[in-house]
Amino acid sequence: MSEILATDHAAPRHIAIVGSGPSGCFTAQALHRKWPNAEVTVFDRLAVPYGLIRYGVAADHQHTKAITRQFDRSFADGGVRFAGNMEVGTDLGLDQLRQNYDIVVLASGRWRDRALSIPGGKLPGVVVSGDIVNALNAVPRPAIPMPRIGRRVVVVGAGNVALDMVRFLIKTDADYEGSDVASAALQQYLEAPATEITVLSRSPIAAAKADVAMVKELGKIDGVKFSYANTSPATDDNALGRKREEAFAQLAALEVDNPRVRVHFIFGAEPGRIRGTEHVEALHLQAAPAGEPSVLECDTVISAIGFDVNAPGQWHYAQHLDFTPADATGRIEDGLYRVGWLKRGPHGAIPANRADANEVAKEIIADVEADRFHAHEEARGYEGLPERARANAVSFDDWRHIDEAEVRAAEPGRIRHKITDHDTMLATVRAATTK
Amino acid sequence: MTITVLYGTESGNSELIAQDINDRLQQDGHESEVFDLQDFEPESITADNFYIIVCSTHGEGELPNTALPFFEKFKDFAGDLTGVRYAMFGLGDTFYEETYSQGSEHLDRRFTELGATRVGDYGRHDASSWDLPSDVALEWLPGVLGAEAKGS
Ligand SMILES: Cc1cc2nc3c(=O)[nH]c(=O)nc-3n(C[C@H](O)[C@H](O)[C@H](O)COP(=O)(O)OP(=O)(O)OC[C@H]3O[C@@H](n4cnc5c(N)ncnc54)[C@H](O)[C@@H]3O)c2cc1C
Ligand SMILES: Cc1cc2nc3c(=O)[nH]c(=O)nc-3n(C[C@H](O)[C@H](O)[C@H](O)COP(=O)(O)O)c2cc1C
Repeated sequence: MSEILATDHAAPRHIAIVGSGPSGCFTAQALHRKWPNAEVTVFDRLAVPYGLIRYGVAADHQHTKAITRQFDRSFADGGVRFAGNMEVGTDLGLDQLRQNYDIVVLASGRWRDRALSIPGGKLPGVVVSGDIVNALNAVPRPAIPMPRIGRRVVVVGAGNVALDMVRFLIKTDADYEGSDVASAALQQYLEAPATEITVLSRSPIAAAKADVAMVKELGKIDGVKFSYANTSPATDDNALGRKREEAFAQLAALEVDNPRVRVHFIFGAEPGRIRGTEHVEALHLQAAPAGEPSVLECDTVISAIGFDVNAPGQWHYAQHLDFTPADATGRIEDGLYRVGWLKRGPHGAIPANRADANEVAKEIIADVEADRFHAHEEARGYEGLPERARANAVSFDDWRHIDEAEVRAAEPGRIRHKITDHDTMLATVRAATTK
Repeated sequence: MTITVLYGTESGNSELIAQDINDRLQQDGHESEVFDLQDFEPESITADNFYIIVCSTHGEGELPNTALPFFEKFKDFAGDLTGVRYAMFGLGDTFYEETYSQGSEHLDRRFTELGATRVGDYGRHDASSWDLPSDVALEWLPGVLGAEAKGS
């Protein structure tokens, strides 16, 4: 394979992006804007686009998902190609992308719950938040059933995902009006919802990770009595910490007659071990604020303590590369980059991925202008990929058939009924396109 | 007269609107330019140009990230903007009941304080409405340009 002088091309002709989550889509937007004549393809292993916007963001936060309309536009007007059902590592190799594209950007994310590593952490009744998120968001490939949840629940963690969990535990069916929640999964839980919830945070309120808006939102749900215990208060110069404290004080001050459910937050609590023989019976705290019990009787423990930076399998397509999180640079080698959660590690919301995508796009542009990219004579872009993989690809128009089918199938009060398995998605496309 | 389109954004909606406004203006034969507020200085505001500002809301009714550095400078800016005309398009989400669409209002207040005049209706987009941001903005634009043409 002969490398030709990059100066023969003023611009890259073919750009591949692996992953259609926000970081991949923002990168595609930025590069397409810079080089409108380049072929930009966004690959995804799933048949549907948008990664965790569709499959992570809570179903009762449809407004957050509205951001996909930006991306819809770049795909719909033909500026950027979507190629779903094309998994790098199985359907095509990274080397095949490298051979056919001047620039390859890896945006495949990393998302697997960090496991609770205390004694008893593997007992039945211990649930990772991801399994609940997967079930409520109808994640396919594979579909994950809604875990059993009992009446007395301990949530470990107090970041935004933990608060997503608390909202889910205390909301009623009516609160999902206009959402795309997986109704069967929700219904399973709502048949016997929790009545007593304890939320444990290692840090005091001032240092907890939850957004103030997320805390305030809890207060809008009817029939819930909130209380909390805290260790050290925020210092005077910690404006954000004080706002969060105020939000918790307001929650606890809400008057509720005959609450359906009680939620108690304990800040500065360290889980020590989970007790139980066949199933979770109690969680023992190693440290707790004064006056708080050190044993919490419960039947379910939900952990939401962040994501595993080194989750195996996330980059099985490139095991020779080092994917240690890094903020500084997206460049892996000339013509090969990474962006978003795959680059920075699994933290930060969608806007942070936009900022990162713009940074990496700038880096790519600077590299191209300095002739540091991977231009080959024989690079043919999408056309150069194996015919078999291309024949199975789901295009953006194909995805719209899935989209329409999901919207058509929505139950009353829902905006869509997501198809939960990959094969049915593909069959839906086939049925619509061979008519 | 040049029309300067400025945007402040966090998740890119305002940027897209600003670019669409700029494209439309150029199609219609106007001379126009577009800047991210983070790449723009208060000193360069002039009465010779007309400004269209597109800005979202983040945090609790606050400005989005790319507008913050500009706003810091704008707060301290001591120039006189008398004779400067501008239009404002704010983005927000009625989901945030108490702070709906307040981000752009911080900029609006400061423009007014410095003597500038807002032209036309205050545009708004609500993310919970599920309307396409650019559709709403492009519908709003002719009214603003009409008001600007009448006023100048
Ligand atoms: C439970 C949860 C809730 C969240 N809630 C919010 C929220 O409310 N608001 C907010 O702003 N942020 C939220 N976030 C954070 C947000 O989802 C992330 O910041 C963002 O999605 C990361 O973007 P990404 O593009 O890097 O990764 P992802 O969104 O994970 O996208 C990666 C994409 O790559 C694809 N992919 C993976 N491997 C391959 C392969 N081998 N070949 C082809 N494709 C591949 C995946 O299918 C996926 O589509 C949440 C995250 C989680 C986990
Ligand atoms: C964390 C967060 C906080 C927000 N806070 C507010 C708010 O206080 N008031 C409001 O009207 N909109 C708020 N919004 C909604 C945004 O203004 C809206 O989504 C907008 O379309 C974003 O535009 P942008 O992409 O240009 O930043 C918030 C959005 C997020 C993600």
